[in-house]
Amino acid sequence: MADVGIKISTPGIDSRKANKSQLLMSSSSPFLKLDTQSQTSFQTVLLLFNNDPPEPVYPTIYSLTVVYKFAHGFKYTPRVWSLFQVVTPPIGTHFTQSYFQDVGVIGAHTADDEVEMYISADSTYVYINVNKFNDGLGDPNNLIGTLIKFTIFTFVDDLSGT
Amino acid sequence: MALPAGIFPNNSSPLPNQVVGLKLSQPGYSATNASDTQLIFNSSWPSVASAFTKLVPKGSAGIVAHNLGYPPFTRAFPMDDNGGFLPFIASTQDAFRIYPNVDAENVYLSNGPTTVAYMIDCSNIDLSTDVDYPVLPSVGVNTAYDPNFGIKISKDNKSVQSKDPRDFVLHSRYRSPLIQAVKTEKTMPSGNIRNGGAPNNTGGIVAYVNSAGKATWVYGFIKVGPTLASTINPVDSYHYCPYFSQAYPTTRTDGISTYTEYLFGDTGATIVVLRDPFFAPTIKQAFY
Repeated sequence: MADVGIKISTPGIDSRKANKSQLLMSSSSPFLKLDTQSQTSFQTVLLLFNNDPPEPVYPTIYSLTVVYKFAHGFKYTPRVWSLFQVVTPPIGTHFTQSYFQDVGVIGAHTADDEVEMYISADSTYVYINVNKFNDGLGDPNNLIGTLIKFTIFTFVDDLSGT
Repeated sequence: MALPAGIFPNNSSPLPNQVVGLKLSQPGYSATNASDTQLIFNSSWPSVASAFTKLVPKGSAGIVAHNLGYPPFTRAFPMDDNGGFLPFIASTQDAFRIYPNVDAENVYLSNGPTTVAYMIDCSNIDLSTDVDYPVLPSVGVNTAYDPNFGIKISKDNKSVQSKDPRDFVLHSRYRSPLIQAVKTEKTMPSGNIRNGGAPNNTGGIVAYVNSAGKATWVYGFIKVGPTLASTINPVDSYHYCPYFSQAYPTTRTDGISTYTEYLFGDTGATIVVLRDPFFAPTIKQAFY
């Protein structure tokens, strides 16, 4: 990149010698961008399970369900961040990650079963997925009544690395 | 979750509000004395920026040079074969690294060729340096956007007239997540030092409590020492600590109170605290 542009360093640091962590602003370090005019760029969602996603049927050991999705409005896959909080865990669960980002376990009974929740995205949608894992020896994980709060950042920035 | 007994928050030295830099106020307000909610842009807002990004194709070498000269807080976006973001594969229970190990020169994705493609985004956040930024007030109502008023800086070789937001370094229509704090062992209170007389229980605990009293974006790392060092965990690299892991290292948090412990010859820990961008979210209720 050409050595032109604008730099603003943190107080006490010479902007000519600063590394990128010492700059409050640099035209060679794009800010991550969330659209202030978009209804989907910065969302907080309370998701209540009134139904239970299907359990795997052995010998299949997993069952994947999209439990929430939204169209992000781009023609490319955007960068997404997500933060999950389990407000009400699955009834009877022995383990819950009450706070996680991107991928986490919202319920489990034994070492042979668990329910994962994770985010994914493609060039049209952002998805919240639930995967139930059971290797045939575990217990079912019923999600009825489970309440999850999640915050999603959908950036205008893509995954091209440019 | 309060911090457990015997664990204390790191020392804090919030930076004062800055009076130097670049400010752009909303129409009708003076930039010299406008509050943050009356500004369209303020270079002192501690915004998260991309200092280095790279697309790492599937099958590439798992160690990628960033050469930033500091260990950057880094997100990796694992990608499927269609270019989508896919951090987990349900059928195989494979979870991919979203917070890779880093040091001042490299990002460490894997010990050998990558099994999936990644886009890596190294930020302007230095994992080795403490910082505390003033906590900006929350925004209840978003201000109207005027496309004829504001500031924008395009990327190199991109037109400032472009309608593609990806072409901009800075555009006042868009806002970033904000840096709230970076806490390391350097500001660790003496009560958090652990000296059990053997490497396995000698180290310390880095801890943070969010004064805003609500869950925010927190991340824990340990600084690798010689005992546990390896090819993708070299000495002085920063290793991500998963939440709720039963193994070492781990981050304990409810998003408000957070602590990360380093032991086994590791030489430090870091907690990164980010917060929501400076505009109001869309709040929804959904049902499955």
